[in-house]
Amino acid sequence: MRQITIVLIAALVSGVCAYWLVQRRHGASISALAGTSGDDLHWIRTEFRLDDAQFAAVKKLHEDYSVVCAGHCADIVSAQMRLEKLTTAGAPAADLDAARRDIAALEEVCNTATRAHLRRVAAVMPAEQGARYIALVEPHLAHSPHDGSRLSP
Amino acid sequence: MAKHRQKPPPDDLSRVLRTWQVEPADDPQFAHKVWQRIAADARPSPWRTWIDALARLLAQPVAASAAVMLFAAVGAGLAALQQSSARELRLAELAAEYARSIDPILMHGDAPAQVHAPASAHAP
Repeated sequence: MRQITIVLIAALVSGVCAYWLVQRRHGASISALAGTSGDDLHWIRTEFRLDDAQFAAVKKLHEDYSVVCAGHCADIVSAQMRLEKLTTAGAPAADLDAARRDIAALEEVCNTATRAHLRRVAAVMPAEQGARYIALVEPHLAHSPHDGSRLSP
Repeated sequence: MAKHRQKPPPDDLSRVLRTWQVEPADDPQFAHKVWQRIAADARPSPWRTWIDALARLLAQPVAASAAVMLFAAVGAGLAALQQSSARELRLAELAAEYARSIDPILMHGDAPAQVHAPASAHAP
């Protein structure tokens, strides 16, 4: 009876230790995912196993696209403000519809540009990782396709 | 006191009991059944049997090592499962954050009331 108790205690201790060790190791890898350098793209490098050149290319694309993105954002904001002003001024329905169509068209341009950007970033990565990147990020975009027509890298 | 010595009135039950005669039937299995009951009481309970078997098993070094390793594997497996889902969750959070940084529509939403200055929304 004493022996069985010792063996069971040893087994329980080993189970708890193994649990703790794996938790610690994986916890560190989850923390490493986001990085501590304040770099918003660090997780992309870690998750998609990019080398220095690939990561530099992704970073460059991101920075370049930020300018484009800012332009789209400004256009959409001004279009929305225009609509708001028209609504407040009690403009005719035709004018409001036109303003709404403008916003929709700008959003479509923005949507297309964002997806093209995704495709360009994915193309920098190894094919398999690029596909994973799109599968992971695309569903989080506005107007993400739910009809299975996913982008391919 | 005299009252107590008075003879009780005739009782029907006593009369019936005096006439009652019991003739139990012979049971040829009687002795066997008694021994069966004695044996059943002497038999250990099922859990005790299991504990004894386990003790005998764990007395062997190979089985004891296997038990320790099994518990370690179960602990590691549980932790890995838990961490795997935590990682997926974190990854989804990062992807959503990243998507917001490259999608102007997500940055300010569709409603004009949610609009904010584009300059502040576009930190690369």
